[in-house]
Amino acid sequence: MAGALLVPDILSNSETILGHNNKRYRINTRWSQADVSRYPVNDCHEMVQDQKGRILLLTNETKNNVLIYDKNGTFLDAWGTEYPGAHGLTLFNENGTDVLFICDNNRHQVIKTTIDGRVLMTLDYPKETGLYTNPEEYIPTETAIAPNGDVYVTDGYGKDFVIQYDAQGRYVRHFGGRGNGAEHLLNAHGICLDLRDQTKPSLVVSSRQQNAFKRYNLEGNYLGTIALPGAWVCRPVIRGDYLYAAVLQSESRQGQQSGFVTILDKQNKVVSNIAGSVPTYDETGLQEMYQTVKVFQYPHDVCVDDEGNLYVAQWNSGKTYPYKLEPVP
Amino acid sequence: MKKCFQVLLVLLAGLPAMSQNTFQLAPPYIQFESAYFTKECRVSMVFDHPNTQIHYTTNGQIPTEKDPVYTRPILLKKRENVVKARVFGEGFVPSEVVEASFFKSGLSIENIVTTIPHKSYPGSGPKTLIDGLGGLEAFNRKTWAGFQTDTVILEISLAKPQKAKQVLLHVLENQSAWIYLPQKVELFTAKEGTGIWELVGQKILAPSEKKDKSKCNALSLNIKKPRKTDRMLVKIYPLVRIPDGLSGAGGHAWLFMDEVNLY
Repeated sequence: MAGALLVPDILSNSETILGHNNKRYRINTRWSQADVSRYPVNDCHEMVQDQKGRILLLTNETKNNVLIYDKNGTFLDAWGTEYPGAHGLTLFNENGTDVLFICDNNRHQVIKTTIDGRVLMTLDYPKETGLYTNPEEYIPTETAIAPNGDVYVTDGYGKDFVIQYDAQGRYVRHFGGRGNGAEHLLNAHGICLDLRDQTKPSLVVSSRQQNAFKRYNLEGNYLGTIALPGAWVCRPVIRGDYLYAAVLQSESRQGQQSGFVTILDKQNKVVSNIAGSVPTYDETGLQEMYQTVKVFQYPHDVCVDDEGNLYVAQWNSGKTYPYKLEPVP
Repeated sequence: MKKCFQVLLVLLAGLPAMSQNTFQLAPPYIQFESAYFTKECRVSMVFDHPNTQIHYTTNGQIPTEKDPVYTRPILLKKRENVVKARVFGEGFVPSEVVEASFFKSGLSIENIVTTIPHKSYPGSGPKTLIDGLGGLEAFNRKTWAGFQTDTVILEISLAKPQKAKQVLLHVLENQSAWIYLPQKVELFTAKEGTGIWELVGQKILAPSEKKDKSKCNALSLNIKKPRKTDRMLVKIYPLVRIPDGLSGAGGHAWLFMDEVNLY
């Protein structure tokens, strides 16, 4: 709050419009009004909106792993001290009740909790696959929950498999993993359900070091690749007809805080890059994308709220709180 | 007076950055296959953001908005060329300057025998230093040969005796990857008819200062009293102990090299 007072409103109201086509935004870098001395953050990894409209942020700061805000950035609540490797945060509406799935890199576990942090289920390393001999080989980064409650976990910093469990946490199957085939993954950092085509539900999985998303059906059969040259895409986030993803960094400028945010339409065609290059297609396909404005350092996730606003959480970016982006009509 | 004006300009340019939402543009991308060419070379740049322009120079100066706007690939023909570029756009702080240097090939080197590179960074094989490929800042590219020995020897053979005046060694500096410039380079030529090496040039480099970015460097050695020879020997002394306060302090630095030119 104190920081916000130092800057007159006229200066903090940005005239910088970011993005392209029908997905253009005005940015607010001072959205969070959490008191930094009481509610610090480390890496801000992921964000979701619950059914009450609140915005939940997951950070690997064990003073408060989950921070809860309203859409205006007013701090509401915090919980969680036991997730040193807090990385993935997925919200699932389970018969009308919001539940959360947290992937913890350090604990090598996936933890299902109530919206206020009570633990409901813990998934340990998937020894049932026969591919892992100890927990350390397994570093889960993300979950996606199917309408029937099945849980898909990506081992994005481990062996890059997607492991499927039923709603009770029983192993069903695994797929993906590393290799030279189109169906293989490299840095399977994120995953989501794609229900845009109701007749053909599918999974979209990040293959971040390959600068691509890969699609599978719910049984793990490979369907295709969405190439995103130049973009280290974190998890896919689908809202309405669009797919949003934080791009950790540009391939051509690695390790140099060169991230941006990309938005794809229903045909999986990039329509806008926030702080990135104009998406351009020619006969060879999508041209290499890159950061053009130094707005973000290492964006790690995008949350899209019920009004179409975006919230961008960042990794390794000076413990910065999330930014909010409001659509420009 | 001019200097004062420039300082004022820099200060004014910094002002908007103090408000919350005035952002700096990212630098443009200079695109090329290799920094080494035989006759001429065309260098492309990309930066696709509405209402912005790339301004560039080839005279070594920092680009300003008065310098040419990039519209098509730049043709380079000189022996040594440096392209500096920067993006400007209304409402944004101009980008940092990016630069890349380009070198025309000189006297034809028939063969080069070197100290064996480290097995993790063998380059593209025995011709790595004379294949005309490289000048890329990413150390993991196959154009770079990496060494972690106390000395690195290059023995150069020419097809016929030539009067070389200058040697350029193309090396990388990427301190975060423990890749540093060498401390010293010595140049020898074979005394005609004797096979005895004679010291004809030497370069001693200042100790490294802390640098954040990866950068290609051309180390130039001039030959005192050039005379015809068909064999040369270059002895390079990498940094044996990385000084305190720098990345990898106390460890043995790496030497990365991708090309040798003779003029």
